[in-house]
Amino acid sequence: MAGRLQEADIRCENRSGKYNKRLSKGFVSAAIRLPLEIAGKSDAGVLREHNEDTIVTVPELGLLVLADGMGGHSRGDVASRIGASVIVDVIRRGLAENAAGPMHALVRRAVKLANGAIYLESKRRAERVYSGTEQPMASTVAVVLIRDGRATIAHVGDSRVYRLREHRIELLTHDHTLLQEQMDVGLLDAESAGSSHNRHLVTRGLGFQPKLKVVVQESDALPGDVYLLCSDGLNDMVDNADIELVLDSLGANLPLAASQLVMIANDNGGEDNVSVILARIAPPKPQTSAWRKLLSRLFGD
Amino acid sequence: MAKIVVSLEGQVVGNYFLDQPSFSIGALADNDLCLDAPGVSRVHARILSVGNDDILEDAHSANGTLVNGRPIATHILQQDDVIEIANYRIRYRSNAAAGGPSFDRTMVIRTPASDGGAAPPQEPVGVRALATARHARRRRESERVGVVTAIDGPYAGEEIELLGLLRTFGVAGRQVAVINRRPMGYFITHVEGNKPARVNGKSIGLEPQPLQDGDTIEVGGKKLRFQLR
Repeated sequence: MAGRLQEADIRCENRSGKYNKRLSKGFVSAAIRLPLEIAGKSDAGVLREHNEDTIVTVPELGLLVLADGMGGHSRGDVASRIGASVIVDVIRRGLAENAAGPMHALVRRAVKLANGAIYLESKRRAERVYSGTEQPMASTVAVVLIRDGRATIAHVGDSRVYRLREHRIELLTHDHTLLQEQMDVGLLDAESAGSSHNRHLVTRGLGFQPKLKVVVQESDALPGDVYLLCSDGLNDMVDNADIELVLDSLGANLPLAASQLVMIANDNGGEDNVSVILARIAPPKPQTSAWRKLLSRLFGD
Repeated sequence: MAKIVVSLEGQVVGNYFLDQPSFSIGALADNDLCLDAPGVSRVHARILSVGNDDILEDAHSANGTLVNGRPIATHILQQDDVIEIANYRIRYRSNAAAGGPSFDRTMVIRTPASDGGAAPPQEPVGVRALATARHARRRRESERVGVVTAIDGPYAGEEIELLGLLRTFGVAGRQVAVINRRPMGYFITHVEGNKPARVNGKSIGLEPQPLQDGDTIEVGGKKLRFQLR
């Protein structure tokens, strides 16, 4: 482990000089719209038959939605599908009406409407099929809207959003789980949380109650950033260090990075549905002058 | 199945198995565990069993419920947690904690926070949450370690042990391949460049290819030998 960390550090140092230069150049030239590259993969995993996750990406809007369904009569897939499609519809219409409006308000409204839609559908189904003891259907969700150099992020439940920047991943969301709450108040340390089996108890879900508090965050989206949305089937099975390694090594081929993340989760046991969405804000092309091209052709590099 | 061991002033006064969805604790006689003593509310607390998990909830008791010395509203019980209700100490013992694949589905649980009470902090949590991947079975690896040796060029003879999950080789933007260490062995996959790398003189194409001991890899203008040790 120590050996591998060191190796990564050295690699970062080697590259960071070049990267910074590129970044500053990019700022001058490509300020208006940054091209976005997107890849996604969703898999039932090794042990489960059904995939209750839903992923939707809308490249022209810069919109990424991942939902992990759960609950009654194995209708988790219905919940996650309703959630994702309501969010996409609301944001699509909102942007068509006013593309310059505040993104955080739009994303919040979309998530709240998705919550209401699942709640109503869940109630309707519960009345049709009497099932007092069944869990109501519900879904987690992670939403990222990337536009005009800003990333607007919302999540409910334990689906996560990570960002790779300067070769490091950072978790941008805060799980709504009982486990996380116990860590927050100091009842549980990270060590015992890591070995705990009760990680699937989420404290917030779409469709679980008629009203939902939704926290939305906004931050700058920089050239070269890679955003990862994932269901808990990924971060349960794959360490953050390994997620970082995949994103940092394979950023040039996002579909491959997505399928490798799913593959690693399945190699490690694949106990749950695994879904990932990756979006990379294209780094500006290094400006290779005709002169440098000639040099490199003559002497190699 | 988990059990709880109840003691009062150092004396064990009872053992109970948590073999039902909800186990109630309180002063009234119809509780599953009746603790008839001052400071115990009529229904003081409940333990809900969900899949492999047992969740302790304080039932809005007058004097509160402590776990390991801290007041709780809702708490996922962990092996050897000590619950305190009035002067009683209740130890939680579970063999479920040992693990084995959990088939539990993700479920929603109602807590004070989800009812609009105290909201959990919203800032990214960084380190604490970053460490939550399940430690016990986080990686399975092939038994033999792959080693890549440069055959030509200025680094000829230099060895790289493939201990990590993956490693890329080649020249960024031109030709890059990744070698993965998987439970069933090593695999090489094309990453970027117009032409995929070659193994034993043949293009690896776009699908992952298994690597065998002694294979020769050509990538990014370099020749490498792959060996298993």
